[in-house]
Amino acid sequence: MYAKLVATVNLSGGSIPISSVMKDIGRVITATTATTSMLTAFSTSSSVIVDPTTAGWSYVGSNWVADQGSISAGQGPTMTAAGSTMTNYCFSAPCQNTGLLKYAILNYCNVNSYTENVNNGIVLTGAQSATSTGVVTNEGGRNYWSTGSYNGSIASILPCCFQPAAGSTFHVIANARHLTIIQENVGIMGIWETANTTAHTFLNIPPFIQYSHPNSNSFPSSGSGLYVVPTAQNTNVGVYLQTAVAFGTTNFVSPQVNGTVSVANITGYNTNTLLQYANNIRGNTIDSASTASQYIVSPVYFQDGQRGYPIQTITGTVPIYWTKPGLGNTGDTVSINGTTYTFFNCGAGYGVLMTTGN
Amino acid sequence: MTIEEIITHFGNNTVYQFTGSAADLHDLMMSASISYNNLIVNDIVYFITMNPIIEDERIQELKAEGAA
Repeated sequence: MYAKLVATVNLSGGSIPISSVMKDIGRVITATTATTSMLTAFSTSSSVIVDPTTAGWSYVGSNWVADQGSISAGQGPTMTAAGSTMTNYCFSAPCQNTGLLKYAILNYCNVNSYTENVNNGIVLTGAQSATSTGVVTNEGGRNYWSTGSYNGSIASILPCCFQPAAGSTFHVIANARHLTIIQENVGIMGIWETANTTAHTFLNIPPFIQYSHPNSNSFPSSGSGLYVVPTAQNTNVGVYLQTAVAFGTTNFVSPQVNGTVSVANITGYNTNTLLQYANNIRGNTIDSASTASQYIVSPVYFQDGQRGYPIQTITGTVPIYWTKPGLGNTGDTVSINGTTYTFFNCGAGYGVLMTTGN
Repeated sequence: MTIEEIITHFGNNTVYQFTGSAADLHDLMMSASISYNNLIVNDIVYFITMNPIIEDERIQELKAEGAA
C-alpha cells in the first residue's frame, strides 16, 4: 500500500486536531482497499492512493475511548489538557514464519504545550505489546512536550517529530513487513521487520526495529545520540534525532529472560555510518561529473553489536535500500537486480528506494 | 549495570524496582491499564511508567547517589 497524503492546510496549527492526522494514517494502513475518501485531515482531492494493495496491518486500539474497537468516523479529539488527551493509535502486523506480532504506535507530539497549536506533530514508535485501550508495553523512544525539565530551545527539538504543515506531503508505505512514513524532503520513520536471528528464535520474539529520523538533515553528534524512553507525559523529551531501537533482544545480564527493550545509542548500534552520503564519506563510485558517492545504494541493517546480538538485516524482508540524498525526484524508479524500486526523497540526509506492494 | 546506568537507560526518568517477576509486573500494570517499559538486570525487574505509579508493596523507587 502506498498513500501519498497531502496537507493543503496547516494540520499542525490547531485548526484541525493533530489526532485526525493519526486517524487518517491508521485508516489507510488497516483498510482492505484504501481510498482518499477515508481522509479527514489530509486533502481528499490532492492526496492519492498510489498503490491500494492491502497493507496488512490490524487496528489494535487507542487510549481514546471513542476510537477503541475501531477508528471512529470523522476527525479525532482535540488536545485540551495535560495527560488526559495524549491520544495514541496502536496497530499490529504478524511477522513472517512465526506469526508473532510487531506493534506500531502513532503518538501525539508537542514540544511546548498539550493544546492544539503550531507545534503539533506526530511520532511513530514500536512496542512489544499494545491493548485495545492503548496500554503499551516497552515502547520505543518518542518525543513530546516537556515542561520545566526541558532546557533547550523549541527549535532544536521540533525535528524530533513530523509536522504536517500546509503544503507538506507524507508518503505512507506499508505491507505486513513494515510501516514506513516519509515526510517529503524532510525525514523518515518506520517500523521494520527484520530477518529472524538465532536470538529471536531462542527468545521467541518478533524481529523488528523502530527507526526514527524525522529530519534527515540532522545527524546526532558524538555523545548526544542517546534516545529517551517514553515515560510520564510531562517529563519526556527525545534528546536526538536519528535512532534505531530493537525490541526484546536486549537483557543486559540475563538474556534468557524476555521482555525488555533495547534503547540504542547511535554510536555502534545502527546503520548510522551508512547514512552519511551527504558527506561523501563512501566515495567508491564516481558519476559523470567525476563527483564521488553519487549512485550508492546500500542495504539497511541493524545490529545491537555492542551487546553481542546478530545483525538484523532489514533489506530482504522490508523492500528498502538507502540512497544518497537527491538521487532523483520522489516517484523516480530504479532497478535493483531486476526489481523496480521507487525513490523517496527523505530530505537532505539521504533517500530510500522502496517497493509499495506485498 | 550500575544503578546510574539503569537510570540513564530509562532517560533519567523516575525508575522503579519491582520485587517480583516480569510476568507479575505485566499482570499488575495491565490490571491498572498502565503503559510501562521494563528492563531486567541480574533477574531484578526495573521499570518506568507512562502514568502515575500505583501503590503496591512490591514497587519502590530506584534512587542513585547523585542522580536527579
